[in-house]
Amino acid sequence: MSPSLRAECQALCRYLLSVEADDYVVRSYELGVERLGIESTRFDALLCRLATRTTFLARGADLYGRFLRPGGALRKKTVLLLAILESYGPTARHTDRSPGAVGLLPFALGASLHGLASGAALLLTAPFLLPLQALLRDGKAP
Amino acid sequence: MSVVTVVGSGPSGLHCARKALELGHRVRLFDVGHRGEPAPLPEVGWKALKNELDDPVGYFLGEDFQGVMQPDSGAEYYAIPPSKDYVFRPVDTPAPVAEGFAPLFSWAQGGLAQAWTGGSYPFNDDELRDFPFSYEEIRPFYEEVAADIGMSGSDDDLARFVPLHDHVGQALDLDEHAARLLARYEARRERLQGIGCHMGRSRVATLTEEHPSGRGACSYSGRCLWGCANGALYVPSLTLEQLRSQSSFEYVPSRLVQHFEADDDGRVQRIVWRDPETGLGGRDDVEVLVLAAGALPTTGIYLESVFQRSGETPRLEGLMDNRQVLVPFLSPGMLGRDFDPDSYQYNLLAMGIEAEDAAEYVHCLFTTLKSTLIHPVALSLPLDLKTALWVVRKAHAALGLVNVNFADHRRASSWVGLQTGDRGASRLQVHYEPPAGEAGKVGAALRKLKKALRALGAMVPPGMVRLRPMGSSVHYAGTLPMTIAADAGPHTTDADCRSRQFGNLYVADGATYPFLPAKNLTFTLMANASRVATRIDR
Repeated sequence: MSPSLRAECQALCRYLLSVEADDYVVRSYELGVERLGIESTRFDALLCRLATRTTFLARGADLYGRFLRPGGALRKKTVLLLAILESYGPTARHTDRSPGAVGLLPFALGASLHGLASGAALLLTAPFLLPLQALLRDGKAP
Repeated sequence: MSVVTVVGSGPSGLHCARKALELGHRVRLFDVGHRGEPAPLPEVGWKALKNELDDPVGYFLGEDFQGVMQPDSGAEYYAIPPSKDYVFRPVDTPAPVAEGFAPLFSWAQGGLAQAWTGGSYPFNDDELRDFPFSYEEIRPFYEEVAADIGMSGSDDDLARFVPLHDHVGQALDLDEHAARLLARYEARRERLQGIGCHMGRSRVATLTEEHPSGRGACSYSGRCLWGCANGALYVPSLTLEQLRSQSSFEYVPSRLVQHFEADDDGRVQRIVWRDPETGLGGRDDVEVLVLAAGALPTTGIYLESVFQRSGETPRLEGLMDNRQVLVPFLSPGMLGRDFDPDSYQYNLLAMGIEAEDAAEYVHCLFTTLKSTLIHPVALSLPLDLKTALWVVRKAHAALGLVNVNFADHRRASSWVGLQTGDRGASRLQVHYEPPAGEAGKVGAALRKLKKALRALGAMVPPGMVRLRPMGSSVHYAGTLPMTIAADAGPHTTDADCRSRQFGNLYVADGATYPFLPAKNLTFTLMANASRVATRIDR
């Protein structure tokens, strides 16, 4: 198991669900990256490194990837991890449950807070990611 | 009585075989016959599987993670789970050349219906207008099949479009979301019917009580999509298992039938097949041949046979398929609730939308989201995945999907032909053009549906309606139509689905349909195939 892949899995797990990934999740993640042939360009590698720094930066990198690098490695890896987490009992008990209160108002409030956090994260990350993406183009990561 | 050779182990082939055996014929059924694995831990529900399995990720996502929906795949909101990959496992055969159509094939035991959702809606007289029989004539076969496979439903507002017949058991229990939708419909019935929308319980081939065959009732384990663990949801391979216990039935797997050979009088003498694994070929003599491999493979066998016999490559016009549109919806009143995993996974409700021509009725299947993987929905949202996950978790119990189905007619502009190659390697040519005015028809139906959803307390998120490519519904039909017309050409079948060109050849699948209603056709495939069996040797 590559230490950077393990660290990446742990960081993305904390980002998605605020929980620690156990050995089964980490092993599945590594296997998934290999089996799906997820490869990184230099820019993808940068996005992934950014996503492992803090949950806030992970959100910014993820949102950037959603719109400006949708087929990129970070997006693919995060989706892969989400699929693993929802298939595995100890983490699926989070994904299969609705967080917080019932009703339209709590939903609207929660969505607004998430929206603010996402907006702030994107504002912080996009200004330096855009030129970097142009600079690094599609060069393969070492 | 004859030896009847059947090609194909889908619903048509198996129910033709079943009936033929009952009438005293001997039956040999030729099939490729890919098989799946038995459902693991059958006594455990969907949620508990995630804890009880040694490798839940391997089960839910597949050994190669083929169950993970990739961001750039352009795929839909749900995918066939890895446990049903065998249904679509290919064989080594030249891929068809298709324009305007994305054909799907199955070489599995049970055929494509191994991955069906059980919808069993008989055609009514308006829909059977172009067929050489009425509802009353095919009704006994519908009832016989319903008794054989087990069915549940209700006598409700859908009955105006879907005739009620014998052997329909009590309807399945509704989950909370479906119950709310139906309650809103009942409270606003007049308003909804005023716009031509009528809702009722789904008619499905799923048991709500124990079946005489020993199959148990639905245990509401939520495992439907991954494969019913106790046989409550009918799949044709259950019939194959039963037939194999009969001494007059011979199942011949690993046989890809390529064409048949007929004598100068047009009587089929033998079938020519290849073992798709080993590549070895062979021939088997036949007395009576029934093609039931599915409309496209059956058409391919027929065309290859004509080509081998005469060198001709006719173009068989009239290919049909149901256009489908996926309409996600959200019921705000369910936001924040937990979904119930211990429930029936597939559609519990259906809605019929009236059309000016009753045969053009639009058929809508309502599925409320329960036991399913949510990452495909999360990645479709214009959000970062953390936010998307939060939204989907909050909205899971409030989400649903309407699968809207439209009828199709035979047209000269949609056809199937054969592209012959060197050294005898032919490939199917499929060309499909949508009917003129389709966009208007679909638009009008969707406007009515959205109004209906609003009346039911639901909303359609903007930008998420998906028009499925033609070929997706896998309800192929129309290339060898059954007709009693005096000027019917050689490449048609008569009222008994017997070929006009080959006297001992019958076609028991959708290739013979002269019209394709919007309803799922599998139940009618089974009923008509049973009817065809009674015509053999008549």
